[in-house]
Amino acid sequence: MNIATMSLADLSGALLGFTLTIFVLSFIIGDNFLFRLATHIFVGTAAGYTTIVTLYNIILPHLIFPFLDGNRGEIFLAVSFLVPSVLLLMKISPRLSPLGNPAVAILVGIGAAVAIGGATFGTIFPQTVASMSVFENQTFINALVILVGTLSTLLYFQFSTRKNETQNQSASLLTRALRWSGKTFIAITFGALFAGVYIAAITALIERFMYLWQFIKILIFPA
Amino acid sequence: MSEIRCPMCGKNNPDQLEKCQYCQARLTPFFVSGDDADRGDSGLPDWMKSEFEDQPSSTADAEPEDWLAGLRPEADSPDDEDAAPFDDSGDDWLGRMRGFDDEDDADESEDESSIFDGKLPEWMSVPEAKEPPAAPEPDPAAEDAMLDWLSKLDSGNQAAAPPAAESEELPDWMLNFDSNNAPEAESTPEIPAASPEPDPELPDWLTHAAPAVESASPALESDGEALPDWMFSADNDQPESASIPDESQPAPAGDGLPDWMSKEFAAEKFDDGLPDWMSGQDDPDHAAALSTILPDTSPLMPEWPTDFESDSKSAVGIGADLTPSDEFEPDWLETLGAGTSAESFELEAPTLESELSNADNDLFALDALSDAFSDSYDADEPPADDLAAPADLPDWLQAMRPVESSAAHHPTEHGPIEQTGPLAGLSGVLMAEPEIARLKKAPTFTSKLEITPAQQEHVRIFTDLLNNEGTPKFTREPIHISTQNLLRWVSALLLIFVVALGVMSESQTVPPPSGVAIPAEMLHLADLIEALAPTDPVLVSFDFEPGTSGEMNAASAAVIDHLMLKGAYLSLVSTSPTGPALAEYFIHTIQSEHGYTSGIQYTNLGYIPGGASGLLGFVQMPSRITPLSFDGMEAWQTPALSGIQSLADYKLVLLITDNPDTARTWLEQVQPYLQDTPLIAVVSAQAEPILHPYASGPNAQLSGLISGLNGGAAYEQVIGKPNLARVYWDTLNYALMAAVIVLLIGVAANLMSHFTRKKTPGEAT
Repeated sequence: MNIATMSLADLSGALLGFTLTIFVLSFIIGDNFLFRLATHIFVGTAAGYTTIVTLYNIILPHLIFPFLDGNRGEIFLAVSFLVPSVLLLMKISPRLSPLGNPAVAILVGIGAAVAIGGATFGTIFPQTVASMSVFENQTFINALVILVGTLSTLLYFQFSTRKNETQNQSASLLTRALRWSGKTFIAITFGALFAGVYIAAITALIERFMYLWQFIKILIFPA
Repeated sequence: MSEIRCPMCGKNNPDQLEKCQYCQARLTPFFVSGDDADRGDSGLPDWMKSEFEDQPSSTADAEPEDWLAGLRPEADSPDDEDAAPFDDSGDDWLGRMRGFDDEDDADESEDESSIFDGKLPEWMSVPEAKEPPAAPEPDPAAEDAMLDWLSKLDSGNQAAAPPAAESEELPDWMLNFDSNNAPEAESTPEIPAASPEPDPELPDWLTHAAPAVESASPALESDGEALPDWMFSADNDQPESASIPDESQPAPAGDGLPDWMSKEFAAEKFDDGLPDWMSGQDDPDHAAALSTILPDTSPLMPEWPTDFESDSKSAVGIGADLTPSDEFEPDWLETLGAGTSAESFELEAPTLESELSNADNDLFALDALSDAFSDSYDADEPPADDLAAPADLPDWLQAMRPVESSAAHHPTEHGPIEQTGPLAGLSGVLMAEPEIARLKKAPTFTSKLEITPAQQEHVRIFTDLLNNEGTPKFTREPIHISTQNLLRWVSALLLIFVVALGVMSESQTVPPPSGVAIPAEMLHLADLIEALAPTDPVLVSFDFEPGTSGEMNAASAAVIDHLMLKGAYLSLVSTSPTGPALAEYFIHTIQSEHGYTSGIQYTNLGYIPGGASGLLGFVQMPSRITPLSFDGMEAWQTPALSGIQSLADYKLVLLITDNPDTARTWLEQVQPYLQDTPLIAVVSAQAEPILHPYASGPNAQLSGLISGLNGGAAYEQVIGKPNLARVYWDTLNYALMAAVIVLLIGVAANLMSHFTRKKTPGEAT
């Protein structure tokens, strides 16, 4: 890429991106005005952009356009959207907020039902079936590790014990060993998650440095 | 041979004797006749002489023992044979009163005769100011003097005793008396002195006593005004019976007398007869004798008549110095004053003289009677005249004596007199108001806290405890605390240096993952994309945030590149508002080499609102949820999308996300409705540990999974076309190597500090 061939918009965008990247990276020396400025710019831009996207992708297609050139079904559907939407806007006023409760109830109820149904049939049952067939599809070592890791992790979250004759409420040695094993698997999982977060952050840093380097190359080496 | 009975000792003496041969008392009154008027004040005692020595007209010459005869002329009257001796000692005057009935008791008479042995009794030795002037002598000068003080007394009483003022201070019984007798008292001075006819307005008792009262003085009238009915009646009965020997005019017994003083009451109370001393009340002789001993009863007299008496006597005492005023003299006094000689006075008003004397004695007797009823209660206080001893009243008389009068004279004995409220004027009442409204000075407490040594020690211990609690215990400051910032700065600089070096070097020496390092699900994903035909609709979801766009772009670049290489028709959607913009940037920036055009090779369906619900609706009715494309065109009118009724109509669904929750939502809401359409995912490295179980196994919900820059670089190796991941790969490896080195250095330093740190005693235990 050559700076001479760049449009003004691309050059402005590249310059703005470079500047804001420096502002964000200034956080390495602590919270400062440049970092807060860049943060506020991003938040404001994102909010404005989201408003525009919502207007163009949701409000106009679903609430306005059907009344302009829609058929009866589309109008009826638009009315069914419009009424709860207007009631939901009543939440702005504390005096009229109770009018928005039905819309909120519909949203929460439907959302909960969808989430529960999806979790049940999309995660719990499939993962349970996959865990039960681990020895069929994995090597014994892998399957054993998967089994021990799953059981020990579940046992780690068992905090109740049975009262024995000696009034000693401490868990048995096996249970304690499994708990320790489960804690180890949890720690490894957290380590893997942290490693993934670290890799993602390093990747983002590399991408930003790459962007800066490309911009600097354009400035330094225009040809 | 006639005999004269001694008025003092009661023994008979020859009539030629002037003095009693037993008691040396004068047997004949020295002022009864006009002859005696020539004696002047010779018969007065010394104190009386001094009182009258300034009176040139006083020519009374009487023996010292006979001056008392003027106080009781009726007793000195030779006709009064009932004159009984009396005891002036005052200790047992009532007993002496009873002795009047035993006139024949010679022994008693002998004892009593020894009393008047020329000595003045104690009660008589009062100051001259209080001694009533015993000068009822018919001497004109003395008469003038007497008239003078009488007139002064009258004027003084009129001026100093306004009825209204008296009525306010007088008790009720006196007020009643005052109200009942006020017209009488006012009319009394207007009665002519020598009028033999009684005033019809006067009560009966006053009618009988009118001559005596009129001849006495206005002071007596004033005195009578202040007296209760019973005392006034009794007072008038006695002088009437005493001064008027004529019993043809009996006194109206019981008129105005209280019940206890009436004979009927006495007869009822004493079935066996009245007491001796009371039985003689109606007897003129006893009355005369009583009048002679009444001065001895001064201790029983209430205080009010005493005060009045003192005022009157003071007025009388100074009467000699007062000049007579005609305007204050009543008519009767003027009539009396009309006489110029003692003889005429004696002839014209013999009765007047005796009545005047009697009235004076009555006044005296009334005072003494009042004192007798009052002062007997006050046993501790000395007598007012320092001579009269407290009388010994009988119990029944003590019980019947007027309480109000004595209570009024001893306010301090029963407490102060109530000043306000309905009980105003009463004494001895409960002093509620002063107790309640008493202004008490607020108690003063010392502000200095008194603390014992033990308490001080406790305070010190508690203070030390509080101070020590706020002060952290001394612990060895960790070494790494001081190097924390340095270590952080070193790590940051090292990482920045490595990344910058990798980027600027543009090194691609580090080999990407290949061979066994490529997971099987990635190979399966490549096979799925490889199986796509051109223009096959592929749904690509850009569900990541701009912050992770660097990683997600590098990780998904190879997959998108592979799809574009295959000529798939891309439908771009996002459950994030920023997703459509990131998708546009990716198509036009990252994969700009393919020249994909919106509406021809791809359609940006835009943002899917509603989260899981919206996604579920999009799965079932994609054209209803996103009817328009991101650029506002009809999204579902393109040839590639015209046949799409649900997501199952897509050949492949690719999910690019950095959020495991978003990936799970897609897996839970979309994957069950995809039927045979495979779902592949390109996720961030931080979401791989959570999403990897969905991509493993024969019934994996994810047909293929690419995670992070590592997966992107590996997929580039699979498809054999280096891309953005490869550019970042070396730098990523350098950065990871640097991070590993930093971690190893940190772990080594921590271990060294752990083993080299000396254990404190607390840690050792």
